[in-house]
Amino acid sequence: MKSSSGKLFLFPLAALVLASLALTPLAEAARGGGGGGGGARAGAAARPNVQPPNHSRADVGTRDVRSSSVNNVNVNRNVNVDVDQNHRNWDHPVAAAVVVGAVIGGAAAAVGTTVNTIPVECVPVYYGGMDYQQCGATWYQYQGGSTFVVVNPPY
Amino acid sequence: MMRKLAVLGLLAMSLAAPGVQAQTAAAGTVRPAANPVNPAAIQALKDMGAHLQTLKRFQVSTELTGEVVLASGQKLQHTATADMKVVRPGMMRVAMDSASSSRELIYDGKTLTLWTPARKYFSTVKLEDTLGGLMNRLEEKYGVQLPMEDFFRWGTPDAPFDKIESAMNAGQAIVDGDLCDHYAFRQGRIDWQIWITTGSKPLPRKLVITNRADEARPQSMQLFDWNLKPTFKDSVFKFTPPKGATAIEMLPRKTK
Repeated sequence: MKSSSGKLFLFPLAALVLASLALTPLAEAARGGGGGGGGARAGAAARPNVQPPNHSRADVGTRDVRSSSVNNVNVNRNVNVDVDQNHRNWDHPVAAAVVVGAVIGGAAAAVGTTVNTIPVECVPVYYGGMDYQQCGATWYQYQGGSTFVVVNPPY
Repeated sequence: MMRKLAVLGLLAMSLAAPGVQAQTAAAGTVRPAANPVNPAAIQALKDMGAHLQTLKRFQVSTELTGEVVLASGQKLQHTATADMKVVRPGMMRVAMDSASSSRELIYDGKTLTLWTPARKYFSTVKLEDTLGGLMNRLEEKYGVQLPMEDFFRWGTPDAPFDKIESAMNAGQAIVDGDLCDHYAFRQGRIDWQIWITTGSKPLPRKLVITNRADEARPQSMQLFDWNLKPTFKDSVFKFTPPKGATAIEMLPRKTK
């Protein structure tokens, strides 16, 4: 008796889980996000139904980066070219190296702050191959889902 | 440390008593200084570079594992992948995927597009160049770096091997089923290792770069997968913005 009621309880749960899995891609498409929205994707990309990574719960200390494996994952640029810090790696482990908690030029938003909405005056731009939201002196980077993080200005 | 002390001691002795210098030097010199640069290892790089430059139509992908060092000295590891479709001299499509972004770069020899599918952002600029030239200009003008740029520079004057301070043959290894020759190099603050397929058509299969500038010695490792008979069509090098895509500006690189 006990075990059968347990089973009965599990069935709806399983159905719910399946339903939510099936809904995920739709939800993604609805808000214009999602893994491969538009354009053909290459084979190396994540599977189509895998959600893009979301960093909003990453501890802020993980952004306090002092150096990386290489300023540049290409050998020749490492050894024969003086690569400056303005350089952006293609593998982009984090939203740029930041000074955690630094307040930029009197702007209210501190680096590392995560927000769910950004000001309407923000302008999307590419810099160093990455897309940013530039909002006056404050720069945001998209973090997945609907979240953005305040980053050091890239220049 | 011991070595430093020994050197200091030697120095002191030689300064104090020039007469015993010859004797001391003889005792201190264990073996003659071998050439730290094995010319065969440099030749292997040249042969690989020359072979890479002969490839006209290919697809190559990479899986990268890299590290960042936090202010505390703790290391975090990250992964990224890239896939590159290439037709020399001037067509390329590159997909770059990491935890922080997925982007594509599409180039048909005249027009370059950067495309971020998740945000539906794209930017288009006019740039006429070879792929190697394009990479140089992308870096100089926009601060954009692409994966596997080495494959377009090795075998050209852009990638001189004459400044390498140490070059070693490290034997052979199997990388993803292929027999490879393993070489290790040192130049400036960078140590690097490469695994090149053995034989007359040498291709890089694995690359490790170690940054000695930080005492934590962060390292990146990449594996490469080659397809020299790719099935893509030239239409992949044309970009047509999908419905709802937004054109945004590609800011030129600013110097601090």
